[in-house]
Amino acid sequence: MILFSRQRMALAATALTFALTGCGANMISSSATQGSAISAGVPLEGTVFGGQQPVSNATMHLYAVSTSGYGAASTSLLTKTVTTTSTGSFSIAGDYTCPTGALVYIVATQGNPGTASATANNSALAMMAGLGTCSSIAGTKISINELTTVASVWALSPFMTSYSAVGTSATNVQGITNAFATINNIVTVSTGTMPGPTLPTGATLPTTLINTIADILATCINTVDQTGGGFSSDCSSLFSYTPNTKGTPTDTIQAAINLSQNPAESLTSLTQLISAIGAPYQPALSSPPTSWTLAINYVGGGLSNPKAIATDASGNVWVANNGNNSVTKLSDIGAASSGTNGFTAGNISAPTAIAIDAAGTPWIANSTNTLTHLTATGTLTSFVTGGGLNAPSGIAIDSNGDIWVSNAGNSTLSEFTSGGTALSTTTGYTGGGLNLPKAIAVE
Amino acid sequence: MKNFQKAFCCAFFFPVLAMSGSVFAQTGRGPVPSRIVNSVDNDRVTRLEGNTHPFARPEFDQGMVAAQMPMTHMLLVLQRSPEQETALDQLMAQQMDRSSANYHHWLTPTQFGQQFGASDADVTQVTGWLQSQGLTVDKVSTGRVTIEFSGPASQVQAAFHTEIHNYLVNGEAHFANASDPSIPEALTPVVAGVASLNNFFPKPQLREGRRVHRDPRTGAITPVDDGATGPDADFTRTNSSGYTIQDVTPYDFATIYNLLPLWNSTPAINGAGQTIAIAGESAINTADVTAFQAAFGLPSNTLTSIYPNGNPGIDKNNVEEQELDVEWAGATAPGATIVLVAEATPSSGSTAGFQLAAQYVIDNVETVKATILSESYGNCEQSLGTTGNQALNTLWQQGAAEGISIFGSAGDEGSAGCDSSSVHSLNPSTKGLNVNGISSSPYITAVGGTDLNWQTATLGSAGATSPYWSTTNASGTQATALGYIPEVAWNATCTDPYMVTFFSAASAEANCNSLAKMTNGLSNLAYITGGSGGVSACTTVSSRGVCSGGYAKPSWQSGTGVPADGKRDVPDVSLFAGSGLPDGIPGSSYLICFSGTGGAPCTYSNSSDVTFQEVGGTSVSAPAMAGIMALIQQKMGGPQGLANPILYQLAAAETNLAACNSSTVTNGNSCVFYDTTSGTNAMVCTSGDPNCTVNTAGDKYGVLSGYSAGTGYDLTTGLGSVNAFNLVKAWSAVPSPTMTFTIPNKTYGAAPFTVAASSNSTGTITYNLISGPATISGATVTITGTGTVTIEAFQAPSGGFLAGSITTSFTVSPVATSVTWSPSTTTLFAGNAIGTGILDASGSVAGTIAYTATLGSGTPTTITSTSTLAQVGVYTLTATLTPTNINDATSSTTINLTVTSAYIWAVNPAGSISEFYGNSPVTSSAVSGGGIGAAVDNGNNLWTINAGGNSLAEFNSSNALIKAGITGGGISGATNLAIDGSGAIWLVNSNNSVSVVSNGSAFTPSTGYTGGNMSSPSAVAIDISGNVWISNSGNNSVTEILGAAAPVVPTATAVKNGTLGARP
Repeated sequence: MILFSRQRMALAATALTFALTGCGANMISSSATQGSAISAGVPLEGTVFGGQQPVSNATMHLYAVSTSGYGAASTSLLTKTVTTTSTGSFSIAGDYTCPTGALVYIVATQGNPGTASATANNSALAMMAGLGTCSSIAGTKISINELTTVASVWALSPFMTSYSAVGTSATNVQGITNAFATINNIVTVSTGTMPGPTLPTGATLPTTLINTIADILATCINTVDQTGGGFSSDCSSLFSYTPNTKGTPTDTIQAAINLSQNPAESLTSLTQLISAIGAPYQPALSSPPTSWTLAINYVGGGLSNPKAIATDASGNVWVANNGNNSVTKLSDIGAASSGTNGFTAGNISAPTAIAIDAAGTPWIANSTNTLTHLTATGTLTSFVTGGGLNAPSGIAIDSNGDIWVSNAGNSTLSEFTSGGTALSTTTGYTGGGLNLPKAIAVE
Repeated sequence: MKNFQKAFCCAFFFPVLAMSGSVFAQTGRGPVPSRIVNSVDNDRVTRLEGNTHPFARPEFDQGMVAAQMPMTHMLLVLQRSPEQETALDQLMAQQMDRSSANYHHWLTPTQFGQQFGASDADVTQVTGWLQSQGLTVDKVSTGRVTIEFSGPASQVQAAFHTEIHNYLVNGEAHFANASDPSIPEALTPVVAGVASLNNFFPKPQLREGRRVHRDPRTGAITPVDDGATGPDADFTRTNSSGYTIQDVTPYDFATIYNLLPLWNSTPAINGAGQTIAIAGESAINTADVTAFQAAFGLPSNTLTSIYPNGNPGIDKNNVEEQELDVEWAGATAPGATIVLVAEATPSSGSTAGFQLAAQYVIDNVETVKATILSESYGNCEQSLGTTGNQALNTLWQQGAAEGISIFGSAGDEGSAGCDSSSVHSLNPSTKGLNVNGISSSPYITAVGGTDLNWQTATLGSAGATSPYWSTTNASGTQATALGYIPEVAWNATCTDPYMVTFFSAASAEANCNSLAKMTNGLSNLAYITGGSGGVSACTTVSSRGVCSGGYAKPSWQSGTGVPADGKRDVPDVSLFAGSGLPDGIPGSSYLICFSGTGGAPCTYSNSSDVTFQEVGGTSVSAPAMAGIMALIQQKMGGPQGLANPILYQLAAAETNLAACNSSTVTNGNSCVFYDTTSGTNAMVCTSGDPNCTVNTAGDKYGVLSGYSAGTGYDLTTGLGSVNAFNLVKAWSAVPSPTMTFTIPNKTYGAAPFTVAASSNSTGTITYNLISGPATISGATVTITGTGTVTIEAFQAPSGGFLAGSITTSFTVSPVATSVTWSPSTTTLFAGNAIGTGILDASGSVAGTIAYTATLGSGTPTTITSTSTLAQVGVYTLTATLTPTNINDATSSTTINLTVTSAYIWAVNPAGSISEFYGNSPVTSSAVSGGGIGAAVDNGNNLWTINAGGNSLAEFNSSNALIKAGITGGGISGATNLAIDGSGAIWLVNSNNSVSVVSNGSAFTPSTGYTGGNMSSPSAVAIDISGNVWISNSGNNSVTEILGAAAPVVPTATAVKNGTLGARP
């Protein structure tokens, strides 16, 4: 009976997808800045589906993330109780105010995932979808299901302790903003399907693994509490395999959080919870993965035999391409801005190392015994020679902003000012047992 | 033993000399530099012009003197360097400037000699030369103004390249040099000349009246000497013509000039405690003084005598002068001590005894204790000659610098200073206008003469009662004066307006020509007698006797009536100087007691025969004024120096001159001076002689253009006579000027500029450089360097204000420079050499640049490019430019240098690490462990993968291996590592997996994390959202593990902020 039900729900979900087509609002922006002003909430509506079946009577929550600490309590925004209808629909018509710029996410808890009994309820049910900034969610249709939940939890994992506690430090709003953006790489929130609208061309999403985790969550979501109270046996099983240091979870989001944060947890047991045939999200794994980590593979932007990688304060990723004498710049969501051949300014040549300075501009060590200093947009700042460079192998930037290079060619160190002036002589700094060093780090 | 003692003695003696030399240097002025630089060569001589006496003329020449004739008391006059003159002028101005530290800071004679005399070496040179010429050096004056020497005429002639001849002039035998003397050229920087080589001496400036006696019973006065010349007189007598003679006793004088309120005040201002020196040439009969005081009710004061060169005895030519000096100085200051300092004038001498006596007083002021000096001699400037004038001027200047108030007779020759007043028969002037050079110096107060003019009111009315005199003598004092009596210029000759009226003549010229025809002598008034005055115009005399020069007008000599002649004018002040008039003419005279030559002893004690001597002249007014000065000095409590600056300012303060006109002023006035406005010192002269004006054709005699009394100052009576009470009272009230003086600060290189002080006084302001890098010429300052310049504005006394001064300072700033600093870096590792890249400052001008480093608010330390800074922190580096040009300003610029303490690790693939601290290795050799990748955590520990890639090592910042090998978690052929915000180490394995080590142990399963199409991962990085990024060298891709790590601060930012391995 249970399996049957799931199939019906899958059909319904397909119908809903069609219904949403044409609404046009199928992605969530996450580029707005945090602010303190409060604006009246725009109307929000959508559906809550569990295991591809509508969840009725689910309680809706709208949260703004905290900026007072990692995993700090979110701010609940709704001013009245909103529940889903029998078709799993909900509508929030301005029943909240929203701090301008705040990152918000929506959570559905409890509810009846489509059983015959009208009063049945699944108290373990919790699903979510990360939305983005308040100002960007107007008119958005939201399809909350296990996929939006997995995408949201895994992207926001470093910032989450529970569905009601998502927060970052005051100095890392960019980090959580980027994390919200990543959700859109994985899932299209408006439809509740993969991939996300922003996933770069050529990127590979681990859809099978995501489906598998969604299916695992659905084993609980698609059940109701036992008569007389208590989680369903499926939920209890799920929770028993997804503990954290504080114990077993009591809702499915918490279970997901625990998995994302302990990716090697109960790989086999959890995999065995799902039936390959009856799982609502397909394809799914039939054997355990090596971990519950979700990894996306990006290509393009000139990537070619990459030898070194570094991130900057905006979340951009810089890669030194030894294969084509270039540097690739990927955005925080993996979108290349370095063209198809990478940045090549400044005689980049078989680069071996890259470091981003405090100003966010990259320094690249070239095999030609030179350094290339680019701007954040990949144009040349300076081309540096001298200072004893000899087969440079590593770059580090000290607290003064000076550039340090390990020279594998002659076992020396070179030092340059942030302006590119050599501080070391042509013989470099020697001694200390340097022996064709390949890496360098500063405290 | 004896020799040893002698040597020891000498050795001991020299250090004492040396010590005294150093004490001298400590007075603030270094030893005077010597000025005689060339060797003395008797064949290279300089002729001293204007030192031949006017009477040394062929018509008087009696031939050369005997070669062996002794000559004594010759004075070699020394002169100061221009620098000394300037310094002395400045000091003397300051002595009269209340705002100066040197106000009334009088010098001792020794100080004067040390500061303003010739150097020891120069004196030795000069005295050595005199001795080499066979002459004897008798005395070098303490003030080093003269050297007295003597020797036979032959040696004098040889030494000075002249001849000494005998001359017979008007029956008097003299010797004199026949031509201007010469001295060796080498000595001229120091030697001004030889004061005189003749014995034409100054004459006492007294005019003797009659010797009279009074019958104390009847009061009848009869002349004792009814001689053929001179007037009869008494002090209350009606003569045969029925006209009254009114003589002046001390109490008469005190009544007329208002001394009595001073004498009678409590305490009495009568000269008590003050000492007046009389410079003279004769001893006196002190019994005369006692008798004088007893007769006229004066107390018996203290009289002492000093004979520096032996008792001169009673000298008939000078004894009466000295007695009147002593008696009348004491008569106006009855409480003062009178010191007679007398030195004889031997016939062999070339310098008058009174001058040597005055020099003694001035050279020994500390022992004589007289700060008031009076002399009553006269010799015109022309007769004194160039050097003679210099000798006196420099002597009086020394005295003034010592605080001595010096008074001298202006002279009794009217305007005919070179003619004789001692001839009382026909004796018209033949030598023209001249002044008495002994008192024409600016450093002496020239006291002129007035006559009492009470007769005009009774003229032609025989027996009329004068309103000015009582008809009976006051008991005890014999005084009859009732109060102030109008005064006119003293002139006892035919040119006197009173005489012209008396004799009913049409004019002075007519009167003189008429009287000149009288032969009985009694009424022959065509001679020279009257208060002297005129313009100093003959301090320099040419070898032909032509006058030039004259003392420049002193700054203090200004005011109504003072001629704008640029010259010193005399007299300064006048007092009664009458000696009576010829028989039959009403008049007045001073009385003295004089029992000297030619009469009966002064016998006031003999009630049956009281005898008096009438006497007058500026000989009396000078000591009388000296006595008044003693009252001032007593009131002020100390020496006042030259009286003139204050006398003139007191006069200037008297704005209502008309109220003090001596002809109309009444008793009870507030006048300090009684302005004499009538009378003249014009004298009869012979037609055709210099300055002689003849208005009526055929007249044999004319009138020598002289000077008439007028409003304010005039060249007959100066400022007039004084109301002593008002004078003493006003003395201290002369205000100092209120001056303001500022000069804005300058920058070196500024153009010369003028300065100007302002003042409520109109006195001339002169500017002196006190200190600092500048020169001043007039009011124009030229800057010569940088620093503080102090300039004094000195204002001469004028218009009722004393001298004043004010100093101001301004700063001359160096020219601004700048230092430009563009260091290659502003950061440095602690302990690393600073390097030339940081210390690269350059100056805007040439110079040296020095650097200092200051940590926080600490003490600056000098640094060079090789210096190291051990402590971490932000240092202020200062580059200071010291320009080569001293007039360029030092400038500095600072930068901040951040010194950090940081370790750098390099990882060697062979399996070791090398740690550096800045550019210096921490250890000389590598430390085993690690070898692949390098990452530093929040504890500043280094994580690196051991060679082979299968385990992870941890080192602390002291280069110690903490964890040798962490394995597990799938670590396998790891190629790189990164640290997340929780300190977890992320490794990428060559088997396309990721391992995590957290809290020191593997976190990942044995397979590590896989997926994401990892392929030969080459590097790993964590982002701010907790995503793990892996570069795949195997498939040209990047893998992102979503949210698996703790967000981490980007590496460079973390290093900078100390947040490595921490969450943002």
